[in-house]
Amino acid sequence: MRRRPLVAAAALGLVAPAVARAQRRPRILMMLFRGWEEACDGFRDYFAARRLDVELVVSNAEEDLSRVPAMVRQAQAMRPDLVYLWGTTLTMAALGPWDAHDPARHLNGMPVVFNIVTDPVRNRVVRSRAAPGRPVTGTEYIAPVAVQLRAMESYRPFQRAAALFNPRERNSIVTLEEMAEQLATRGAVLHSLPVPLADGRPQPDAIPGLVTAAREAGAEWLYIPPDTFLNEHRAVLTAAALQEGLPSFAASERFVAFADGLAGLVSRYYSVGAFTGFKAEQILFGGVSPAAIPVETLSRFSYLVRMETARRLRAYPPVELLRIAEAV
Amino acid sequence: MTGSSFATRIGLLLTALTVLACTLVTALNYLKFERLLLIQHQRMFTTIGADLVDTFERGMNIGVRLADVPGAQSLLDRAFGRDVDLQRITVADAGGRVLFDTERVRIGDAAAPALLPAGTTRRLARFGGLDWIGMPVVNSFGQREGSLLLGYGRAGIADRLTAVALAMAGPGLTALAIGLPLAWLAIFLVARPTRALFAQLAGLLAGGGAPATEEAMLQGLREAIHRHGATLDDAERQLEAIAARAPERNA
Amino acid sequence: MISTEHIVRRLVRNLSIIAALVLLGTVVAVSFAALGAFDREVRPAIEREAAVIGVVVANPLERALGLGIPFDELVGTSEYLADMAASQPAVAYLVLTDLAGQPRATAGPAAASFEPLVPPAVLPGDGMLRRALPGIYETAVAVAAPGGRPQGWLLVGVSRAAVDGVIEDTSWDLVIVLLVAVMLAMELLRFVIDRTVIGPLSMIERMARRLSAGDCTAQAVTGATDEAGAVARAVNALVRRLGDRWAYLEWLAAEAASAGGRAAREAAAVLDGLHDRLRFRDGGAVPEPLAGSASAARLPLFLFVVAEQLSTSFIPLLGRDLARGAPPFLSPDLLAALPISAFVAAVALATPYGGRLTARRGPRGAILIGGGLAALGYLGAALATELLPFAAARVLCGIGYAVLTIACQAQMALAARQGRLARSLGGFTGAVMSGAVCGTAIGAVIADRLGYAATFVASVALVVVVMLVALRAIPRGLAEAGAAAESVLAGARAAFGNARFTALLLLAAVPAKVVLAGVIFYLAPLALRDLGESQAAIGRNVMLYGLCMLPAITLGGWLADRVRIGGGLIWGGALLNGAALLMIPILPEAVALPIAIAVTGAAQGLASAPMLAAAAATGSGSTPLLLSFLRLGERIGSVIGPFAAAWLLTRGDTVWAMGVLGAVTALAGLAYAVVQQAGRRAAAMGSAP
Repeated sequence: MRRRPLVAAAALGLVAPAVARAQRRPRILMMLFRGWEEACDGFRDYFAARRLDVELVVSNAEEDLSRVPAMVRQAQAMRPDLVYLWGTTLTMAALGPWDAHDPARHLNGMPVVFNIVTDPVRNRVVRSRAAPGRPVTGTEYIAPVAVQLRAMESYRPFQRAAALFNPRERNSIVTLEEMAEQLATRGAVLHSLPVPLADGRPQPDAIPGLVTAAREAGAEWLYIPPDTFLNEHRAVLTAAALQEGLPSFAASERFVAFADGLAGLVSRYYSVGAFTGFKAEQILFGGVSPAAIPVETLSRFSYLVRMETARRLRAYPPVELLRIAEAV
Repeated sequence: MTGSSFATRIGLLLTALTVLACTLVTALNYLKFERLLLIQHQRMFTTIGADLVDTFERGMNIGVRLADVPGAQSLLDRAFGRDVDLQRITVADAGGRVLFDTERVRIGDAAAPALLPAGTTRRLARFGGLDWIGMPVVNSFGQREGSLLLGYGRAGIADRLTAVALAMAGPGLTALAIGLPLAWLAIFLVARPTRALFAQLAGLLAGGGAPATEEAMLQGLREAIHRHGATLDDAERQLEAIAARAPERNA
Repeated sequence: MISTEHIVRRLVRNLSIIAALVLLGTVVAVSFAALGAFDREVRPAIEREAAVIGVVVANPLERALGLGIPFDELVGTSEYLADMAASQPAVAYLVLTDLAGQPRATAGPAAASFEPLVPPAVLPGDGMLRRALPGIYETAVAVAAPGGRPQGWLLVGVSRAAVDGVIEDTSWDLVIVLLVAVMLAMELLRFVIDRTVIGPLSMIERMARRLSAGDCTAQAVTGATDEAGAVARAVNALVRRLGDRWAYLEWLAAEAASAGGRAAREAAAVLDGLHDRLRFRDGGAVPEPLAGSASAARLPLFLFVVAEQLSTSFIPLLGRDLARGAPPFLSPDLLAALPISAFVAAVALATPYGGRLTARRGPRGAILIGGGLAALGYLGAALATELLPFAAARVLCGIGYAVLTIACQAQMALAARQGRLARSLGGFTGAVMSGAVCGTAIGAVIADRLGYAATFVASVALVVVVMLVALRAIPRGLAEAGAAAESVLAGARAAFGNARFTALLLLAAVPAKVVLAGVIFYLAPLALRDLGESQAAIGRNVMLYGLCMLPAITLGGWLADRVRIGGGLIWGGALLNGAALLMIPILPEAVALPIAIAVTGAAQGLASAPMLAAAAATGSGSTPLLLSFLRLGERIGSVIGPFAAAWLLTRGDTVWAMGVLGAVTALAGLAYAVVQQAGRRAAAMGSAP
C-alpha cells in the first residue's frame, strides 16, 4: 500500500517533460529575404496538415543584405526553438562558412533549417550533404545534374548539347562543369558558351548570336543552367532557341512557365517548403539533431513541358513522359 | 429373404461415399474458382487504385498539398464509374481524415484505421461487407502524405460463382440420379450368389432341402445335421422302446 | 466346384469394380461440368479486367491527344506500352492501332500472337470491341481526346493462362479425390464385407465344424437383421432344436428309468452313447465369444493415419511461418524442424507406454485413449499461433499416434492368432501406407482451399470417427494378461552386441528414415514452395513417395523370399536413393524433385521387407524385441532427419542440403554392402573347415 504513491511519483516524473513539451508551442523564427512566398506556404502548411502546433515569427530582410546583422542580433536575443532561413544569400550571410564561423556575427546556439539554397556545400554552408558538420540542415531546390540529364534524355536522346552562361556566376560554371563531366562518361559533348562581358557585365545583346552558334555547332539541346543573368533575359534566350529550332531545357521553373522554354525539371517551391517543414518537424518533435539530418533535394520533381513550344518545334514529348509531365 | 440385406448396407455405403466425393469435388472446384475470381477482382481494382494514386502524386508535384490537388473530387467520381462493383473511393490525409470521397457526406470524417496502409505498403482488408485496398499516396520527398482507400463489392463475382455452382450441380445431380440406381442394381446382382449361399445355409439349418452345390462346408453341415438327427431319432426310438416295455417286476 | 471362398472372393472383386466405376463416373461428370462452367464464366471476368486495363493505359494517350499532339505524331508509344505491359502481370499484349486497325505500336509477352483487328462499322454500346483469340481474350478500347472523336484503338489481350492453370489444377484435384475416394471405398468395403459376409461366414463355418464334431454348447451371435443374422438365428434354432430334443430324451430317459433298475441302466447307456457323439451344455448353449476380426482394427488405423497425414505436406511451411516471431538468434529453418521432430520423438518415447496401456486396457480402450489425445493435439494445432504451443500440440498428436497404432497392431495380432500373423501384420503396413497416401494428397488440397486450421479440424473430425468405429467394431476385452516381461536391457545388449544388427540399424534403417523425415517431409515441401508451387501441388509430390512405396514393398518382399537377394536390396535401395537425391542439384529442380521423391519411395519400399527379415535373422534375442529396436532406431532417424536438414539449410540452400543427405545415404549403403560381404565371407570360412 505504501508503495503506490512512490510509483505514482516516479510515473509523473517520467511523464512530466513530455507534458511540458506538448504544452509549450515551439517557436520558429523565419528569416526571409524577399518576403513571404510559396516556399513559406509549403513550410507553414506542412505543420498545419499534420496538426503540429508551432508559433511562426517572421522577420524580412527585404532584399537588403545590410539588414542581416540586425536580424541575427534579434534572433540571438529571442532564442527561438528553430531558425528558418530563406535563400542562398541570406543563409550565407546569417550562418557564415561552416569552417569560419564567427559567433559574434553569425547565428549560434540554435538549430537552423535553410530553404531555397543552391549548392550549400560549395557555398560552405555545410561540410557535406550527408553530414552537415554543424547544427544546420535544409533542402536544395535544383535537381541533381544527373537527374536533369536523365530527364533530357527521356524527352529526346542526344549527343551534343550547348549551354550559355554568365562567366561571373560561379553557380552556372560549377553546374556546367559537372554536366560536361557526366556527359563525357556517356560519350556526349557539352558546348559551354560564355556570354561576353563588357565593363565586367554580361551583354544580353550577344544572346541570339550565341544560340545561332550553338545550333550551327550541331547542338540538339540548349541547356539553361540556374543562372540569374539568363533568368533576367529568359524571354530573349528562349525565343532565340525557338527561332533556331533548338529545344531548350531548364533547371528552374521560370524559363518554361514564363517564357518559351520547351521543358524543365524543377522543384516546386511549395514542395521544397513542405520538405523543409518535414526536417523542422524531425528537429522540434523528433528530438533529432540538425547535424544528423542530411541536406537533400526532393525525390520527385516536376517535369514541365510547354506544349506550344513543342508544337512549334514539332518535338512532342513521348507518351511515357506525358504520364508524369505537367503541360503548361 | 426377409429383413435387410448386407447388399443394402453396401449400397448405402457406396451412396454416401459417392455423394461425399461429388460434394468434395464440387466444393473444391467452387473454392478454386472463387479464389481465381477474387484474385482477379483484386488485381483489377488495384490497377484502378494505382492509376488514381499516380494521378494524385502527380497532382502534388505541381506543388500543392494532397487536399488541394486540383479536380480531385471529380477524378474520384469519374473513376467510380469504371466498374459496377466499385462501391467507394476515399482519399484521406496522413492523419486519416477523409479529404475526398465518392460519398461526399463522409468528407471530414475519420477513415477506419483498419483500412489505412501501414507506412508505404498496401493494405488489404475486409471491412463493412466490402473488400478494401488501402494504398499510400506518397509526396515528393518520399513521405506518406495520405492514403487512397478503395472499397469494392463481390456482386459480379457472386453471379459468376452462382452460375458455376448451378452448372456443376445440374450434371452432378444427373450423374448421381443415373449412377446410383445403376450401382444399387449392380450391387444386388453381384450379391446374388452370396445371398443364395446364405439362403441355402438358412434353409439347410431349418431342416429344409439339400444344398444345390457340392460345397464342402454345406455338405458337411447337411451331413452333420442328418447324422445328429438320425442319432437323436435312434436314441429316442431306443428310449421309447425301453419306456414302452412293461413295468418291471419289482415296480 | 463353387466354394464359399470363391463366392466371397468374387463378391469382393465385383463390388470393388462397381464402387470404382460409380465413383469414377459421377466425379468425372461433375468435374467436366465444372471445367465447362469455368470456361464460360471466366471470360466476362477477364474481359472486364481487360477493359479496366485498357482505360488506364489509354489515359496518357488520350491526354496527349488532348494536349494537341496528332495521333500520327505520338512519340514513344512502343516504350510506353512495353512498360505498362510489364507492370500488368495478366496482360498478354497491348497494341495501339489507328482507326483502320493498322498496328502502330505493339508490346507484351504474347505480342506475336496478335491478329489484326478489323473494326466494325457499328460499335457496341460501351464503345469496346471484344474477341477471343487462342489462349487470349481481347478487349479493344477506343482512344480519343477528351470529348473528341476516336482516333485509334488500344487492344488489350489478357492471357487465359491463369484460368488454364486453374483448370489443370482442378484436373489434378479430380485425380486426387478419385484416388482417395477409391482407396477409402476399398477400405470401407473391406470393413463392411468383413462384418456382414466374411466374418459371419467364418463364424458359421466354425459352428458347422463344431456341429459336425457334435459340439452343441455354443450359440452363434445374432445381432444384424441381414442375411448373416438370419443364418445365425437359423443356426441357433438348430442348436436349440437339438437341445430341446436332448432335453426330451433326458426326460424320456427319466421316465423310462422310473420303470425299474434295468430300464434305468439301459436308458443311461443310451444317453451315454449319445454323449459320445453329441455334447450339450446344462442350461442351454451360450454365445461364442467374439474375437473381432483383423479387419476390425484396419479401418480405424487407416482413418487415423489419414487424419495424421492430412497435415504432412504443410507442417514445415507452417513451422517456418510460426518461427518468424522467434528471437533472431535462432534460425527459423532450424525452428521449423522442431514440430516435426517433437512429433516423432513423442511417437518414439510413447510407444512402450502405448504397449503397456494396450496390455492393461485392451485394444479398444487404448484406441479410445490414443484417439482422445490425438484429437486434443489436432485441436491445439488448429488453434496454435506460436511455435511452442504448436510443437506441444504436435507432441500430443505423437503420443496419440503411438498409442493408437500399437493398439491397432495388437488387435490385429490378437484377432489373427491362428497362423496368419504375417499376413495380418502385412495388413497393418498396407493400412498405414494407403492411409498415408490418401491423407497427404487430400490434406494438401484441403489446406490449399480452406487453410491450415481447417485441415487440423478435419483431422479432429476423422479421429472422432475413428473412435466411434472402434467403439462399435472392436469388442471390449483384455489383451494378454502377462505381457512378455523380457528384460529390455539384456535384449538391447545382445542386439547391439551383434555387429550385423548394428550395421543394419545404423547404415540402412536410420539413414532411410533421416531421408524420409528430412527430405520428403521437410526439405522437399520447402523447396517446392520456393519454386512457387501451390499447396495442392506440394501435397501431390509428397504423395508420390507413398504411391511408389506401396507396390515396392510388395515387390521387395516377393523378391527377398523368392530370389533371396534381401541384402542386395537393402544396400541397392540405399544407393538408388542416394543417387536420386544427388540428381537434384544437377537437373532442374522442377523435374528432379518429383523424380527424386518417387525414386526414394520405390527404393525405401524395396528395402523395407528385406530389412525386417534381416533384422529378425540376425538371431540375437527375441524377434519382437529386435524389431522394436529397429523401430526405435528408425524413429530416432526420423527425429534426426529434420534437424540435420535444417542444420544443412543454415549452411546452404535446399538443393545442396538434399544433395548432401543423398551422398550420406549412398555412402552408408556402400558401407553396409562392405560389412555384409565381410560377414558372409566370415560365415563361409567358418562353415568350411
